[in-house]
Amino acid sequence: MFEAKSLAKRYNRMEAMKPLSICFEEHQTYALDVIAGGNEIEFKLDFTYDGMEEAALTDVVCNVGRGRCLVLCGGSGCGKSTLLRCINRLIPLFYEGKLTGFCYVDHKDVSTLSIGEAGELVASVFQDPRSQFFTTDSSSEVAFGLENHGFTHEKIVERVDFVYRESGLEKLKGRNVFELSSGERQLVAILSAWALEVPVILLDEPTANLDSASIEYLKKLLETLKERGHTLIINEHRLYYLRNIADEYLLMEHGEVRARFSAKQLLSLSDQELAALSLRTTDLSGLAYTCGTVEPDIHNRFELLGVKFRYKHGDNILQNISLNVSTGDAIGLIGSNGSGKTTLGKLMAGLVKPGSGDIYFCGNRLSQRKLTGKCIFIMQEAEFQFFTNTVMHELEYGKSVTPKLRETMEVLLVKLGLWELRERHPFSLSGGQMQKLVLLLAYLSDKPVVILDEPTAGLDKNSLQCCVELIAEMRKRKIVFIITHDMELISQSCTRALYISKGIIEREFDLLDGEFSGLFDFMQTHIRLSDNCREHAKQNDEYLCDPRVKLLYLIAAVAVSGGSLIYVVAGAFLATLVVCIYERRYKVAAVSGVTFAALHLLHFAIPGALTSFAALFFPKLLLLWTVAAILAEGGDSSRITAALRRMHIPERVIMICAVVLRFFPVLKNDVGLAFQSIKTRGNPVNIWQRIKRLPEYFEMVMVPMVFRTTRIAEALSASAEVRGIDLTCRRQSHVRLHMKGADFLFILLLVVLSLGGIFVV
Amino acid sequence: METQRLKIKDIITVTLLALINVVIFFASSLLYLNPITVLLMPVIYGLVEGVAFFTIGVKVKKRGAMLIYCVIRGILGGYLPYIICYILAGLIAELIIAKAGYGNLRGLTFSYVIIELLAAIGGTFYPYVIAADSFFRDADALVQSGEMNIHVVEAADMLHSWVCVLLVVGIIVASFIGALIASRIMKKHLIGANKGV
Repeated sequence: MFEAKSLAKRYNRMEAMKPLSICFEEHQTYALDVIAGGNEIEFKLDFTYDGMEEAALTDVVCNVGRGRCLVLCGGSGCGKSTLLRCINRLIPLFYEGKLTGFCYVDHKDVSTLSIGEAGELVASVFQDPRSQFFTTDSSSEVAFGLENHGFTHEKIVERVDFVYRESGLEKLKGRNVFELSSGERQLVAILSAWALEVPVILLDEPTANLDSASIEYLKKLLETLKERGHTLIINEHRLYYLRNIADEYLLMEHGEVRARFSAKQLLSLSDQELAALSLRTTDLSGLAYTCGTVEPDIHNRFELLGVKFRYKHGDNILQNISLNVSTGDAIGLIGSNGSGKTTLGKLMAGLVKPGSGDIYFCGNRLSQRKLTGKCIFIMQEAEFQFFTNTVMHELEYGKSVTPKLRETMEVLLVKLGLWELRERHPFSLSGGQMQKLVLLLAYLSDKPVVILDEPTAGLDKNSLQCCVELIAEMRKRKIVFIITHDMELISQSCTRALYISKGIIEREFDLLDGEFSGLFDFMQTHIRLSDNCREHAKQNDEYLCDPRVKLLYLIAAVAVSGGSLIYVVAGAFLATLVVCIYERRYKVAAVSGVTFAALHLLHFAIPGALTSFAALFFPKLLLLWTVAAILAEGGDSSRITAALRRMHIPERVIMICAVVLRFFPVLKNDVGLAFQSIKTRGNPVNIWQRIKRLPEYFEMVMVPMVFRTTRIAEALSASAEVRGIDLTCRRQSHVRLHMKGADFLFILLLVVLSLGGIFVV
Repeated sequence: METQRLKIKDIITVTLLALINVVIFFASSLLYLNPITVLLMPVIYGLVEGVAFFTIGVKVKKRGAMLIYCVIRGILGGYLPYIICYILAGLIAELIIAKAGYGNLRGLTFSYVIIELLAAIGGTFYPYVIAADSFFRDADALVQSGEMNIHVVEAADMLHSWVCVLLVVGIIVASFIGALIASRIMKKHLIGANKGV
């Protein structure tokens, strides 16, 4: 229960304005500035999550002036995200627990507001851009919050255009979100917050998955927001890009404020002093290359020769990749978000099949299946790689545990701060703890090649150092590839760096040979947002049929599929084919048309039970599939949502439709990732062994799937709630629908052909 | 006292978990290509759909969650009798779970078996037995006039007899096994202290 009013009365407000106690001795004299223009945010908060004994926040007191930027820093799990959740009201309304104290934003007591109402004062940007999007189109995503807050169509269009124009990111406008890289999605998420015109913007580790180009764009965007008078509170481990943005830093530890620094004070600290506070560097240009050579215990060689890869219906992601690596090497794979680094990693691990080219291990050419026995790929999505119910079981999985191995595991768990958590379920760990656990899995794996995909995303300084030490140990026995954007990791762990762009290794840096500064300069200038090689296909709106007509076709298809009037099905199918051709969906029309004809021809050519059944039932399925294909509109669900809204369908039903349309492709992809994870953690097995282990495999696929899905659901609903999805105001859509002459003709066609079918019967 | 009204988070959780089973449904759509494997589909679904269903039951202990699951599963099946049967199954499941207690594994098991059976009635028995029956009502005349092959009638007859009974038993046994597997997974990973919730 939030007791803000009574507590606020009891609490001496002047007391809150006193200098906070600073543990860091050099800064004991620091006092809070007198804020010109008044406080935008003031809070004093204590919070304990439901079911937890330990408080997540204890007496966290702070105030932030209008137009200023406060950075929350500190180790993983110190309470930074919890604090942001208290400000945007996700605590205690979404994440339940006992909250006491007060929080004022723009002189308003937020304890009296719902999450959606608080969203009129505070906008939020979350860490993972993959799961916070609610729509499938970048413009609709920016418009989503505006629609929920009851803006008119004209105002929504104006605001969306304004933020894209002012940010200089117009090339991201109107794009399918599945084509955007992580960096591009995060920028769109910030534009969504900006579009709401709220005074305060909260950002929770916005750079966790971003490359240097995206971080540069993000930095410019944050500068723009600050210039325009927005107050920013940023929870972040990477501090270097905030040098010219942050006014103050709040250092947190175990849910308490340990110190509060002015920008000047924090920037004056050396890297050693920062490391003592578990903080990462504030100046990348001062990074020194400290990775040394190691003497490997064994000597293996791993080679790629002329490897190419392309996705179905896509351009070449990788073209002619060749490289040669030996044990002791740690190769950094660098490049923009979406440049094909992860695909190369999966290809080396045997998780995807190269179009052409060969891969050799110690001179022997390896098939895709044998590759999975030699390489382990540690995915960014850590949760897919856990199959058991405790941290300890996870380390023991698939191994014959000897006393020596157990001792090694225990030492490693202690070293990485996971010993106390050894009996915890892996899915109950925080993101940083999961990252450390998957690193241990890589370390303890018997496979001689390890590929780590963004191993330091979201890690604090101490965890980063643990990661660096583990990689150094691994290099004695393994060949290590590291897909990363993190210069701090590269400077301490990589012996070589390969820059991948446009599907080729564009440049190679021998870091042991003194090329680190060259790499640093190169990354600052060469990594661009435009390097994202995912296909950019936009459907021509001119030839799109009104979604209300398509919904009518869907209803008709469902209705006729329930009966047994085959001529009515044929009539509806013919009308659907015409719509397909009108929308230039020639492939769908050809596949369904030919299959439909083939089914009936087969029935006449080879009369039999099977062909008769096929001709009777399968055309109904074909009709439903064709209607679903035209309804999907190449993945853009915003027009369907707008159509449902125009039809006065309840908002909760529209929300379910939007989630289905947005996440069906995501979950399909996730099933693929779950299978890849089983492949990479296990050893190759034959068909008989697979059948024998079917129940085990089933659990290994389903458990990560349901846990990942519940995590996505949590992130998505939090993101939707702060953008006002639960507000009851009347909504208008960003997309405006107009029925054209062709749409009326299609309705007529459906009626005539279906009724024609009835008369034929 | 905890509110029983579904929140946005609950609705999105149910929707996404239901989508896992929809993905399984679509991934196995190749089985539709053969009339024999089509008959086995409800048996396979009974075995594998339990985990997502039980996760909904254990995580969203509120009225309406099962109905939403069934509506999504039914509508994304796209076939009218299937949709109707799923919605009916959802209403029955709501009643059973309200009676047995939200999150109760026995109640969930019972609901799951009923849902799978009704889904099979809508998705397999109706098109292959009930609707086929009306289609073949005038089969003799059609066969004599040469418009229909005699094998079709034979196949329909076959479905009317022993295969039907076997299929019903198979679906009930398979969904019960599916529910047992799901219960075991819930106890291992979700229910109780220190689990991955």
